[in-house]
Amino acid sequence: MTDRLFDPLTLGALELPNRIVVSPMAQYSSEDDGKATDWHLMHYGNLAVSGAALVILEATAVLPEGRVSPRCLGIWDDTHVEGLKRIVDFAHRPNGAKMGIQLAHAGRKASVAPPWQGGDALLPGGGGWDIWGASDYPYPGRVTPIMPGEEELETIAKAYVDALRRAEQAGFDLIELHCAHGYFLNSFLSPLSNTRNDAWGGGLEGRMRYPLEIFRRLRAAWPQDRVLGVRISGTDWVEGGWTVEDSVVFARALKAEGCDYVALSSGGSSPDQKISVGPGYQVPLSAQVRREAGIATIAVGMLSDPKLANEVLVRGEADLIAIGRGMLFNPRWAWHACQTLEGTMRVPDQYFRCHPSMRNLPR
Amino acid sequence: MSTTPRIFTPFTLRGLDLKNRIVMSPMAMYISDEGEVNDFHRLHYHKIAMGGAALVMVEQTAVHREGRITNGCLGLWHDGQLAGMKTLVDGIKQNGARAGIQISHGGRKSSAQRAWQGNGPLTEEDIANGEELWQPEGPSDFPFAEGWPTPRQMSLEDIARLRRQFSDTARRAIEAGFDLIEIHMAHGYLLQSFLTPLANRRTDRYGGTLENRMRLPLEIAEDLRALMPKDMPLLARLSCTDWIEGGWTMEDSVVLARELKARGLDLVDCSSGGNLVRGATNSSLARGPGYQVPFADRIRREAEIPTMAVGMIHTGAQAEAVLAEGKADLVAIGRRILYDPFWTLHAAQELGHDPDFGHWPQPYGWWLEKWARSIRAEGNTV
Repeated sequence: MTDRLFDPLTLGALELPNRIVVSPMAQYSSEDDGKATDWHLMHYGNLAVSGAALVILEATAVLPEGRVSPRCLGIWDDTHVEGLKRIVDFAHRPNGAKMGIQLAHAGRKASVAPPWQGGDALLPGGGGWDIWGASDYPYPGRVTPIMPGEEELETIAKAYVDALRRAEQAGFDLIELHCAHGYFLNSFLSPLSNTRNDAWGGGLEGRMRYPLEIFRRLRAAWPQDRVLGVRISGTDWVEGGWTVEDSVVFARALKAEGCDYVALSSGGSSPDQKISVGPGYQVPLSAQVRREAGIATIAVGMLSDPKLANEVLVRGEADLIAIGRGMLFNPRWAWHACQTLEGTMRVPDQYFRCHPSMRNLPR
Repeated sequence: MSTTPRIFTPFTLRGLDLKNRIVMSPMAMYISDEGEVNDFHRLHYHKIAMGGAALVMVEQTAVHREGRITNGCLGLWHDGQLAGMKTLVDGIKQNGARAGIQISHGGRKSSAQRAWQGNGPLTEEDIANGEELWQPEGPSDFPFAEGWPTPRQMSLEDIARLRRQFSDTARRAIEAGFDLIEIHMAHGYLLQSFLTPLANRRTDRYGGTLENRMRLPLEIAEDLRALMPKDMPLLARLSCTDWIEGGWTMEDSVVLARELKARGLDLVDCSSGGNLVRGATNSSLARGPGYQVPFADRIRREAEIPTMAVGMIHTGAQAEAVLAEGKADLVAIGRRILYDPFWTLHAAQELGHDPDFGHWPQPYGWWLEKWARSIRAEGNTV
């Protein structure tokens, strides 16, 4: 089989030596101030020397009320830059990874406890805060969100752009706009959460309008050759919800605005979602969007079998492969995949002697 | 109901409890500047501590600036190096492991190339690229091999000074918070070069007979035991054989282990080699899985001292067999733990010891437990 996983890829000005991406995964490891801690430095720094071409930092909140939990990472204040920059600086070493960050607002799914503390909703006065959604329509079982008016939508849009400027100061190579998993921007897209009857709701065009507006402003503020991508939920997995056909339309609109890639995850808008989870279960979403919208895609979700990851690329179903939990389970996934597929990659000097298969790799 | 694999049974060494039998073997990273700890060291060691080994051994750390094997080696030869070392220790402990340190002097193999430069003597090119060359010291003025610098033969004053440097470094290691100290007596470095007749041609009380060749390593063990807290373990890494005709032998190692034990040493870490020209240790040998285990086994039986086995132990099953057969008390994982910093956590998965990811750090464990459930629901293995 042709080996694609270890082929280079150029995306905008970003030269990636292989197709392996560390998927953004929340660590719930800040204190309650959103700052990066030693945990983040160690976690991301290690992944940055693990052979993956690109590491994308977890959902990082553009506003304090946009955090999923009180312990989520933030970028709503200038004081957040220093801790993030330390991570990027460490990663930008010989044979280190390119670094991306996911800009996020959790919307009506914000203000919950970290999952290992139960993940229950936190209320104002009880460690939580008022939450925001596309509409004043709650995620089932959660409190009713505040529906933003024009002025508030403008404030939130500005927060995204301010966050981007801080990400630029920290030195990130790439920004991913989080429009998935039922969070704020996803809640505009999905008819399950957007019941607005103004310009920001209604038909598909209306529901896409606010996420596209945010994207347009980010694109204008981010250097033209620097990569800006979007993560979407390719389907809600609910009858009457967002569909893969909607995703194709949205991806075309994003592409027209200068989007470099779409990462295809799924679900998160409703507890009624019916998902059949298995190896590569979200790949068809990536394949269809890539084919029909003509945009680069990242496939994600149960792709930790390196042979399967490679096949997805060989079949032209994605341009990049994001590994999430597989990377938590095995922070040297990329090295081990390289051994399995007999690929070639660069290894930091300190580690070249650690396995016979790495001795003769270029350094 | 299955019994706990031996790997995951606790072990007590003097006053120190280890949660399991897996140790990260000391391995030089050659990435320090002037012996100082930096972010690379912290990320590297803290990640491995997170990976479940009971004991993380910090790489050979020089007792003297000129005792560095390379320009990139760690050091604790002055108090200014303490603050950085403390951060290293703190993170290892916060991530659930005990912290150990190997203190070392490179002897006639000092001032050499970093591993990726070739492990040889520094070349003109290396020096032009900024590497510093100095004249190393050794038991005799007899170079390691052709092309290597000729060491300066240590005087009795030098030897007294070296003993003080080992003691001062040990004191700093204790202040930095390390749980135990290992004296590097292996791999052709200074103390091993006193032991082996291949390098020691002295005619005074530090050379000649086995007793004389053992004198300095034993004095240093004695010095350290006297200054260390009563409950803190002291270890030594030995090259149990030179693998060379006329060199140090396994029989010599049994004698040395007995003498070390009599001086309060708690465990012998059983490696080998280091006086062959190629490689930092003995990489020119034809080696196989567990090739040094017989040394740990024999010293454990004949010197009646706990031992650690090391060397090409790749899998959890191999480590388990070493322990189950009573050949060692601890198993050190070296390059394989670089290749897989979560070696111990993965071994637990393989041996069915931690199906719910309870040993994992929380930010990983909760993601993985759900993930594993869905994978297993599909009839697959993690």
